[in-house]
Amino acid sequence: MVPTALAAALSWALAGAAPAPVASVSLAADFVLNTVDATGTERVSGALSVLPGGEICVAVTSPRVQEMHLSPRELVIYYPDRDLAFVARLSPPQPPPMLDALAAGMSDPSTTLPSGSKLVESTHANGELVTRWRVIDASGKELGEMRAVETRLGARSVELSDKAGQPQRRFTFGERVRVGVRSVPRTIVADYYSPGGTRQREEQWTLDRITRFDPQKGPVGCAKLGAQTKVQTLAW
Amino acid sequence: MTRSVGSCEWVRTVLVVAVVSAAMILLPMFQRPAMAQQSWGPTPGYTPPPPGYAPPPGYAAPGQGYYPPPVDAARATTEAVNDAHADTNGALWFFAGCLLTWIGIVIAYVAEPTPPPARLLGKSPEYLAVYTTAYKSEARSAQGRAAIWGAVTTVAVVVVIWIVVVVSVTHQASTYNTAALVAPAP
Repeated sequence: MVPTALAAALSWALAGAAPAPVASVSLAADFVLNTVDATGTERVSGALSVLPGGEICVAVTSPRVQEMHLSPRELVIYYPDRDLAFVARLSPPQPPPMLDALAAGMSDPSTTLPSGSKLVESTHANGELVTRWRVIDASGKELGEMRAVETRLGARSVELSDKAGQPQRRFTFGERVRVGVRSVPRTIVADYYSPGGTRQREEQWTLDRITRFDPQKGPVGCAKLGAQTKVQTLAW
Repeated sequence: MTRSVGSCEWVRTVLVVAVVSAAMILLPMFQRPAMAQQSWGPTPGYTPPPPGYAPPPGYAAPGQGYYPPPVDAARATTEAVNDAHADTNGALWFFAGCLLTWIGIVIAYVAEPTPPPARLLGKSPEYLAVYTTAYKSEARSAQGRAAIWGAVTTVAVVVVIWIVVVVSVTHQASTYNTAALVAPAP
């Protein structure tokens, strides 16, 4: 199962989706997501909660009412108007479902890397720390490279490239707001590239009314299923 | 000399059989199942609705021919295929195929690629179903193709090395026999 492990490591490392760094954040916010790809631009808006422990609940209000609950071992997508839910259960070595751009924005870039990764370059100028990491998994195999630009407030950009130097992901973060011990960007632009280095799609996240998650208010969009809810298994 | 001609014929026969067998096995695997699902015709196993059936708004009425449901299935498939290609690490699976050959191919077809959840935000249930199915199918297919190319590369390299060795051994044997024939008797 070596390649599967490598794929999982690559997915976690190069998508910045390791769950641990997100686990230390808890917040609530309104969001707007614009997705730009070859087929056009789509706008999705709603509210989201990042719960202590790393679970994420998303309540989409436009263009269609939908709730999405992402936990380490389960993804639930619920349509309240039809009382219909799709449930995907994950088992190792499948990586946990994650909104990559949000995870990258809330994480310290270096903590998302596999433990074998090595710092190749580190320069400090104009209040910015630029680091370049060689991403190496636990078995010692080189997976690619990560370049991060950070300020005192947090990361400004993270770029992941493959071994050939072709970009795979690029995350650019806007102004940050402090939530508890972490800072969260108000805007995130995530560019996803195809293997040849061609930009394939762009996600533009805008977070508004960012507050620390209040357990007394409770999260929104956590896909609470009723006894009558029609549940369909989602192959994941 | 007779022995060397026999070896060449045998090598040629083995190569032809290997190429034809490989083509018969590999060609279906190179097909792209996600794209193959796109069709204007009714899906296999389609049964017409019973008399008196009233379709939901947006669906074709019985007798008016087959129309796809209002969900943009083609768009879901296109986006899924594009995302699957972007997310699949071809180099990784190529090397898996190189190192593990058929085991790498099996793993590539068994390993579960997971779609990006952000792509499913605000989408309809129908889109969700089409997208996830097409994504997994295409990603698995892309993984498999990369692993197959890796395995084929390894096999090709091994075959070339083997041919070089066989030719050199045959050549040495023929040189030895010729030398033995022309050598003066003691």
